[in-house]
Amino acid sequence: MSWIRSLVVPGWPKYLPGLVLCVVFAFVVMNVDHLLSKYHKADVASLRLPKLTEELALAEQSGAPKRASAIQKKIDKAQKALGKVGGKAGDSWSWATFLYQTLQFKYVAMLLIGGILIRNLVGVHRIFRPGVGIARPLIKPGIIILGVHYVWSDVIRVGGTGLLLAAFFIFGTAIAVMWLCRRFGVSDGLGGIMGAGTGVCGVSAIIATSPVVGAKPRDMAYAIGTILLFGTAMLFIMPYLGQAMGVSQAQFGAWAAVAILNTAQLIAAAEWYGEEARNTAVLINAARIMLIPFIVIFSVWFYGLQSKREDTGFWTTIRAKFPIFILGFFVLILLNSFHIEALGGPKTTGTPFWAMNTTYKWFFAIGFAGIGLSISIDDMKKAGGSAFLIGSGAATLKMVLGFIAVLLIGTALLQVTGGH
Amino acid sequence: MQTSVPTESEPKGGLSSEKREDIWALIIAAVVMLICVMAPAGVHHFFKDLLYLF
Repeated sequence: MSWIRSLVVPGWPKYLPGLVLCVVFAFVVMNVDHLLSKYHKADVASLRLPKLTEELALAEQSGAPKRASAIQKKIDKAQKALGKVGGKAGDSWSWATFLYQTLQFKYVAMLLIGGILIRNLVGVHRIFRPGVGIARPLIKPGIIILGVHYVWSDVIRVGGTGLLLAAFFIFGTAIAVMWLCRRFGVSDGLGGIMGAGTGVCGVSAIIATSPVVGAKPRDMAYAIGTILLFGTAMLFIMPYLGQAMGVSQAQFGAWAAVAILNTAQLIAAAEWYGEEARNTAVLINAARIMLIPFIVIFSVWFYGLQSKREDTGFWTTIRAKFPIFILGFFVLILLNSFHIEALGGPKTTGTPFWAMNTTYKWFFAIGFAGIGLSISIDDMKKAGGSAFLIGSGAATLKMVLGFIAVLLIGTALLQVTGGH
Repeated sequence: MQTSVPTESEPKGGLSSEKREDIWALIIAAVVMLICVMAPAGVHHFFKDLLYLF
């Protein structure tokens, strides 16, 4: 019973105002995103419609009924898009295309940039702050639900490649950062969590490793500040960098999964780049976060802590540090792989998985609202000293090497098919 | 291999905040799935149409 009781956070009502703020913020932004998307689609349809009409006339003249029927479907779709905004062929909404497609100003960007602006210019009243902090983990149910997009062949191919990629970069970075921190006289506590944080996935790894290496609260503030500062910078830079360098969706997903350390920031950057990028990033991230217990065990070994602290078994550490929510993600992949008729699929109209496919974006939106509203410039200033330079230097190097690695691996091994 | 397990983040007889988040994520996802099994069209309509005002 005490286990069930501990599921409820003590003083939970204090989280409600902030959580409601995030829900409202996400609701407003999702509606703005929907509106922009509608006008962007109408703009594209308006440009395409005259050309499609010409193509249809040509197909009918040349006696190609199949081609004519395919073009007619495209015309119907374009007219539907125009009908939604009450427009006609020839009308222009180029501002929507510029914002939505050229600048990629979608719900992710609006929530993050808008949230940062609100937090730092207007301010978030202290009554909202606890709830804003717990909105971020709402990304986790979204990740679980996203399991309906995959089948086991994806997990083996993309997840296997991703696991090798992640393991190489995680342990490579952790070893390099811990060694450099020791060499430059940074305390074991700060060096340990900075190594784990820049290697695996930021804040979770820092929290998991900090008691093991005896990190002080100030060390944690430095390390978390460094990780979040780097992650925030990459979150805004990488999608544009990827676009400028013509990186494919799948390659971007893998690259972001190697370079961006925080799960929430990673999902945000990948979602920003596109759906396929997000699918690859989520799968590789699932493989990556399963390595957290091993980085804790590695830290214990690296700093020779066995004799200093209470000894427990290898499996106890695995059990204590394993991110169990990821099991739900794999259960849904398993169910989707069996092609159970009663559950359907994300593209089979009227089925449970089809319905579930419409929900995850809302969980992401509330989580992203939480991230944006909790990024404080003052907190970012907490990152400092040689640990910051070593941590961000290693993370930058990991980003560059990760880019070369995903270019060498290619798109095929990183693409999620979803069984199609 | 022997390792040390922290006690700060896992109170005795309780759950760490990370574990609590994970369990809540599993519960929420299970509830969403259950509702989707019971009324897929309703859920789809709610999240795809009803929540968008414009």
